[in-house]
Amino acid sequence: MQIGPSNPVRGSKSAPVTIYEFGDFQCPTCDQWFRNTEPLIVQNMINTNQTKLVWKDFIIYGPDSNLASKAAYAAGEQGKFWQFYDLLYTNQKAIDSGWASAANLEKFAQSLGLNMTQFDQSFNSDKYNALISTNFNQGRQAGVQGTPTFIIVGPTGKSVPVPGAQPYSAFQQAVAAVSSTG
Amino acid sequence: MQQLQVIQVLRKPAYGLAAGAIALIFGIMLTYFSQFLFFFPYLVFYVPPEESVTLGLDFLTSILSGVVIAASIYGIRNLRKGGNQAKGGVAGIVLALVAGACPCYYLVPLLAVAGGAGGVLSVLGIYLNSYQLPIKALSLALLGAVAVSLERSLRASCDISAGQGTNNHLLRCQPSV
Repeated sequence: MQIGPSNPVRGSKSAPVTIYEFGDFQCPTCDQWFRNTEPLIVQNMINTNQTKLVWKDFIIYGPDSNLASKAAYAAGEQGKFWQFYDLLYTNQKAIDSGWASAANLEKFAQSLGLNMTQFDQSFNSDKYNALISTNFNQGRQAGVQGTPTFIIVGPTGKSVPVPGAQPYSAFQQAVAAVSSTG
Repeated sequence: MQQLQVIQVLRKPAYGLAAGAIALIFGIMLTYFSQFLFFFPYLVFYVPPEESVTLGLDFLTSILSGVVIAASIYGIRNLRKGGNQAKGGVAGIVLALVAGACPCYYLVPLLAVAGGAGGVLSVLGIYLNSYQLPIKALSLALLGAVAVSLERSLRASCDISAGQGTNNHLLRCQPSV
């Protein structure tokens, strides 16, 4: 598992442990993890430069998931991927119900104060299709079977997969396991 | 106040144990699929604050499944003594298994990914995922209806008497008319 140049990273790139999140912006369980576990990881692991979080799409929930990912990447070009990520999960509603329609995603982009001409140009292009497809294939190769799935990789390359919206304690154990030299 | 016949069945050690074992199996299965129980990479039981209703429904479904299946087995085993119980028993087991399987719709999107079936299974999974609580509530209602039906069936054809001086309650079924 590697961090590609187009993969958004939350936290310091030099943090020794990497948490790869295979997610779908329409996945309710991903949202559950975002609300309950991620804040603790950000506070205790990312802000302390112990870990970094890397987003990888694993789109299984429908066409609007694809749009949501493309919009997040388009926001990322203006340095606001993670703000858009937060906005998507915070506003998540029923799957393919229109909350992640192209029109709504543009509203989200506007609310973040993005340059809309630049955003639209990127969002309406096909430039992220290859990245989304690569991420999905990487997930399958890594044994991902559903969302969210996290793969935690330590400084020596040792990795532990954490499937599902598991609590902070599971991540603490996994990070400790991949950080140990034994 | 007259005791419930289903409870009388469960007072027989074999059926009480069977009900407990079945409830435990269903409980583990449902909490696993609801992502409250994790086996990998570490054994973790975790209920997010907003999911307590789902956990409650899972527990009730598990307990009721154990009761309904054990009482249904009793009905089947008394086939020669009371035909109605046998019919009700088979129906009870089938319905309890269906009700228990309903909340396992979580498997559908996973199957779509694992099997590459995509399309139809994914759409079905997405549709079912949007109705998590109603599906679980429906399962519970189905089990409740089966339990009431079993109770009536047992009440109609069984004569219950308690063993004097012991805790063993004997449930004697008579041929149904």
